[in-house]
Amino acid sequence: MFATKLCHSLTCCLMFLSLLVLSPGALAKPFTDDLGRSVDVPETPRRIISLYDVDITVPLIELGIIPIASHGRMGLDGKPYLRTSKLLTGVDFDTDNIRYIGSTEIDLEAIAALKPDLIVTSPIRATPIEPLQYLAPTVSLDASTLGTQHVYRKLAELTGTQNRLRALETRYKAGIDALKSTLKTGDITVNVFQPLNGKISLYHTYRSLGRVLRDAGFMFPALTNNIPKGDRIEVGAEYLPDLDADFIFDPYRADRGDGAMQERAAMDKVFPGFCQFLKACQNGRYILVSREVAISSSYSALALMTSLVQSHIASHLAFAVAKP
Amino acid sequence: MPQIEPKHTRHPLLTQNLCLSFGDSAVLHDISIEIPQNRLTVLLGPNGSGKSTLLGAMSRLNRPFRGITYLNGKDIATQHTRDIARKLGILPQSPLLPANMTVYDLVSRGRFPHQGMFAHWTSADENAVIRALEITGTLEFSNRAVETLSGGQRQRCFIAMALAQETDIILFDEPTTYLDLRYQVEVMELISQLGTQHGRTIVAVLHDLNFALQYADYLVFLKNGRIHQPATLPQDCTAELITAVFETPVTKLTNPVSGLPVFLPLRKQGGLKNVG
Amino acid sequence: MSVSVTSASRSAWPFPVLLLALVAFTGICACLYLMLGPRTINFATILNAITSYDSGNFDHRVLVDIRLPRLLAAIIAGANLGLSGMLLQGLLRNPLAEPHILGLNAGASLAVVLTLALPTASLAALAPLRPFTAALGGFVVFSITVLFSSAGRGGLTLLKVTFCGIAFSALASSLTTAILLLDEETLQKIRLWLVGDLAGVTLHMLYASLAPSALALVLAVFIAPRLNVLELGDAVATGLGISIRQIRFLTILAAALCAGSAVSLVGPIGFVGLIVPNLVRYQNGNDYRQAVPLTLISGATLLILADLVARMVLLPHEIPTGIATALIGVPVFIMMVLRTSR
Repeated sequence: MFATKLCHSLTCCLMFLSLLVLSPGALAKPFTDDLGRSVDVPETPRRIISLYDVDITVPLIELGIIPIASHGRMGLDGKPYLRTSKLLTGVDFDTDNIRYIGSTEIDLEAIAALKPDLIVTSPIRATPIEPLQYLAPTVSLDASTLGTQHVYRKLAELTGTQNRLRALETRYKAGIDALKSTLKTGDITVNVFQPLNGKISLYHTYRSLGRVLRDAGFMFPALTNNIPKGDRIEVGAEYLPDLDADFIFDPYRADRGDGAMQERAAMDKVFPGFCQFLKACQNGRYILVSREVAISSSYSALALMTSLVQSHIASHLAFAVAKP
Repeated sequence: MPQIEPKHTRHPLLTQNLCLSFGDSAVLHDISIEIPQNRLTVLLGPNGSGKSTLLGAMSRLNRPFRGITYLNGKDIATQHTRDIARKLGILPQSPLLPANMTVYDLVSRGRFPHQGMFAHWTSADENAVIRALEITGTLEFSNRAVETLSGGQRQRCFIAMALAQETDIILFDEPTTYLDLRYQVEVMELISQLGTQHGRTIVAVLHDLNFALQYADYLVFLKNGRIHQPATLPQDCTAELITAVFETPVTKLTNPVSGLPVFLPLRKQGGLKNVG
Repeated sequence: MSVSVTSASRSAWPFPVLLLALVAFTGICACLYLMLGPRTINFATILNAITSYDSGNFDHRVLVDIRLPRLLAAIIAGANLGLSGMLLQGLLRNPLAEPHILGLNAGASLAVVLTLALPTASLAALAPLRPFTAALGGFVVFSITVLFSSAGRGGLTLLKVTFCGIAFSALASSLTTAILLLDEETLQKIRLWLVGDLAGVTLHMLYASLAPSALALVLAVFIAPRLNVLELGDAVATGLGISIRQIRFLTILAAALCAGSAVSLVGPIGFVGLIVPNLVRYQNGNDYRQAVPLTLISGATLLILADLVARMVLLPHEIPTGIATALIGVPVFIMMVLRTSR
């Protein structure tokens, strides 16, 4: 009995030692996470587990790192998926060797069994850090208050993928520059809103779509600019004229067959015949954008949004003269 | 004992073989009584003898499982509740008093059974209310809130409400409970006039034996849910009767002014322990 | 000793004067409601929109398509909530009775959410029936409440019915929440509606609420003189020719129809049903026959004002109407309690 126990402890010690000695990322480096904790993390972590699909897993994949396991969502068909990932990165639980470790409840035993060398979580996750840090070095990154760009930087620092991030950032900047060079963005007003329960939900900067519009230097109506940065407000239908712009973007549910028609019906419920009172709509410049893409903050989404904004506005301006 | 004429037409209210129970326990057994017209009949009996229950059965508040109450010669159970309310009024023991209600307002609620769908206030309604206020002596403070009045005045207001209902028969359930002596007299003086002077047939449940004897035209004694003694004149009540009904030894005196009997309890030290 | 005595009450204003004054005040509030908002529309434009409506004029459209349906919804829902409260207070002889507290609103919400969670094919068929669905939900939940609180010793008491009401209200609310947790799509559709809000009211919803409202009103006119005598206790009322069972059934039915119409229009809004009947009683005394029109008008006015506050207080934000009624209702309610407890 005692012998088995001793044997067991010894095995554990050996395993632990072997982890330290054998793993390539064994050389530790200090890292300060968004909770202000200083954590010794491997030089180049290889076995990363992500506890947040949208804010951690997708950025990691974009940086070229496939985590060994991730948080995900449970689909109605009983199969787990990474939210927005297939659409934006082409990677999901069923395409790559990523273990699903739960949605709201995270399976700690599964994490232990996978022997990770780094766990990345977020302050808004329900799982406490305490038990996680016994399993592997654990860092917490805060995308919701510090922004996605910050998280990309931190993840690049953790995984040594700064070069890859630089490339992504350069590609994005080039896209924005191209947009700016083809359009006089400072002369064009844009706005982003969507109908919500009989009112209009208006956004200062709507995720990737908003960031593209802001970075490109487009003008927004005063009502929109007065919203605190990153925030949104709900206004009544009577504000319709104050919401008008040269181009209006409405993030709609593109994951349903009748999403576009439903969006229009919802707007008509807010204000019957709304189109009549929006210049943008009268001129065919009320543009429905896939909410799934627009709401993401990934570089793929930014690229898609850049090109979507550019081609929509450019073609309207080019053919505007043809209109009486 | 006087003979009460057993003609149905002479009796606006009578019961035949009433049996009533609450749950498993029988409360009234085979009660048959006839209420004399234009008189004050008082139901008397010890606690739990079924007097209030009988009053309820006579006014369709309680439903007997056997037996019939005849109101104006017709079975009360077959009559519409609103029709009954035009013939028979009942003032229960503790009616609720809404806040801020004026005397006039309260008394006018008694007109409900006479009002139509849209409740037009007619001169008949107005006259009935004024008459009720006059009879009860409440006209002078008809504008005051009932809750600001004394107990006796308040009870007179409720009696006025019952009068405004303009029914030939009015039933009162312990109308003098919780009142001081002065107000008990005030209320009983009023009720006793209603029969002889205002042509109403009155039935009242009373607690106080001697009060009942002074004011009642007839007395009916109940015991254990049965009629112990049918309608009796006050002067015909004997000490034996009262002792038997209340299971308490009493002695009979005579009120020197009215000549009516008064019964006083005998103290147990008096050596009459074995009586009854 | 004539009519002047009949209307003797705490109010210095006789009933007809009070009624006329209230109608006039409601008219002024309705005009203000149409004029004020993020855009101020002057009275001339309102007249213009009536006489020569121009569908291309934004102000006309705002008046006719946005503010008018919403005003009408406020009137119908406010009048119904007030009447529902009045009926329940009369039935239970309790000035604290209210459709929201007693579970009628929660029952109505549960019924609406249940039908919304059904497959979409049946949804369209149910939409015009929604006020009746809601009324049925309120009726069932409150009937269960009354049945439970009538059981046991002492029959139906105020305390028992209030406790049962709160309990069944909580049960209905948690069932609603459970359905919504299982069905995220329905949740998205009605999350705001569950707070109680007038935004997004359409003419179809208004039409649908008319029939149950009218039915409830007819019942209320029948019930009101009976509540006048029911106030004096069940025995007195029976003695005066009232069938207690019939009046209880009809009152619960009418109160549920009112709550159902209101909830199907604007969601479960509290306080209106509590405050309005008490204000009417405070101002005009105990006569329920007079209280019916006064309650209808006061309820409508209160909800008009509350929705005006909801639209205006945090411009450009619009807050849910249910929050505005609470903002107005709580101080009024506390003031009322303090004044009556003196």
